[in-house]
Amino acid sequence: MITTDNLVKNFGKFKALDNISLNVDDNLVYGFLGHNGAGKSTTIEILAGLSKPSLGSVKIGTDIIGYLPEEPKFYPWMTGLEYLTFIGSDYKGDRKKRVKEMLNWVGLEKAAKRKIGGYSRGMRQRLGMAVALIYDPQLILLDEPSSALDPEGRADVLNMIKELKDRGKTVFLSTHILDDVEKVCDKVGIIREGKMIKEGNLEEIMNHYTEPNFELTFTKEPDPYEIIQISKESWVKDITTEGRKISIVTRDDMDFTNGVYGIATKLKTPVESVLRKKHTLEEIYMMITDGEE
Amino acid sequence: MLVLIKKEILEGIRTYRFLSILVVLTFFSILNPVMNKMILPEILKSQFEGIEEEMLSQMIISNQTDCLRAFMGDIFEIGTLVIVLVTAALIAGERKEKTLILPVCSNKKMEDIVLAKNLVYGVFTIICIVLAILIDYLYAGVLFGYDGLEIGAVIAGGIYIGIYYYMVISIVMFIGTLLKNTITTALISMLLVYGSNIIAGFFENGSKSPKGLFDEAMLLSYNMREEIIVPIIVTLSISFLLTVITIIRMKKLDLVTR
Repeated sequence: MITTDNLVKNFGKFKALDNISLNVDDNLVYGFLGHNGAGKSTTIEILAGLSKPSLGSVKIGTDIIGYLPEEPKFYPWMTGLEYLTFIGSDYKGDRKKRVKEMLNWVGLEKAAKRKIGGYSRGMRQRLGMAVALIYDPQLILLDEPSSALDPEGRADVLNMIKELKDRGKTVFLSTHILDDVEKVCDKVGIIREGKMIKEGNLEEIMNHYTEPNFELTFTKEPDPYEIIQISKESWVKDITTEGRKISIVTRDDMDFTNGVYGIATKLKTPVESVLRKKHTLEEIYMMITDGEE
Repeated sequence: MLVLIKKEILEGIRTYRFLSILVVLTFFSILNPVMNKMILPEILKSQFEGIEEEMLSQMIISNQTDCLRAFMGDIFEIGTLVIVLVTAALIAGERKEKTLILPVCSNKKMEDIVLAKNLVYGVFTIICIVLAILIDYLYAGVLFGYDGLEIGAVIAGGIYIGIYYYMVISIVMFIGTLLKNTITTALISMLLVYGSNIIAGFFENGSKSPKGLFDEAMLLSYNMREEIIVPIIVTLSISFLLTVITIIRMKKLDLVTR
């Protein structure tokens, strides 16, 4: 759906994008991650055709693109209904029905006849979503759609994104909220200082960066001498203790089961609980952006 | 295009832009005969005590035609101010507020956006000016007595001035593509409009410039004189050229530039 080849964008001497190449397949949610000022909005504006790259090329596999800017700007003197009717004036089909349908979908049917100037940030974001989708685009570009919303508003936006994916749409989601990415994205691209530093399937990245790590809680504090002995085992990469808890990073995933039994036997102390620990996307993101592997 | 014209009309009404132009012009069209008939003679009498009636009558306006001419002069001063201030946000304001991003992303063409603004505010201004001049004509007639001035000549004069302001709107919109700040846009536009008129006054051929439209309007001639053709062509050509440049610039501009 989207292919960019070495995109460069200069603002005077400042290089906002430095050879960004990305590839987004059809019918998936692509999470575009990065710190504030990393170049996410600049990239999305180029994809939306609002800004021209200084160098490089963009190929988009559809003519109709839905775009929701980070802070969508409307005419405050118009009502939501008027604005959507104005934006959707070229809709081929029953325009009135489509406008009503979109207002219902974003939950603005009751506020449709109110002036946009009186809308809350969340309501404006919903209206922006309706604007982006009025022409039923195959590709939807969302720039930080949930960054300024309350938890309820965020959950609504994420549900909308999931629904769009179920309808066969491709969603390009620019965000720095990693929790949202974990919930909805299939593929991610991580950008730092205008450069793409990682791109791949979310699951693959999560697995790649997740070390086999488990936490054992015993009924009483284990013998420190025995802990030292365990740390010398070939399959143990790292071990830390905190009271009745031991956290162990093993050299490979296969050691997990053997490791638990081995430790329980050695310590001769009953195990209260075993927890398989995984890195969150946030931890992985920090590793990648801090240059760690 | 029709939907954009509708949007501009709605915006003009809801943001009180239309009302501002209409109120200011009609207010002065009513004030002008009152000033000339009642207030100005009294002021002069009090300033120059014992002034002879004959001398006073030379200093004041005493008929409908002169009153109308004086109003046309007022329009240039006050009308320019209000029209420039009201239309300064047409392009500059939309660029500053970034309100064009979503329409442009939903396939609204930049040429249609610019033309709709140009057309709506141009036509509305022409109507308002003709209306204000007609009000002044009627009210001056009531106060000074009708002196046989043809209403057709009055309407023609209003249209000439209206065409001049159509060009002024094109200037303001063009300046709006260079600047985002509406106040600066308004100030530079005013400087251009007032300045060019002063400069045109120094030249013998000045009446062939857009300023000639005012000169011709003030003649209040019922028959269309040949002399009006050149200033009309010049004014409309400037408006057309500026509108084309505005469209080209707007197409090239990064609407999202922070």
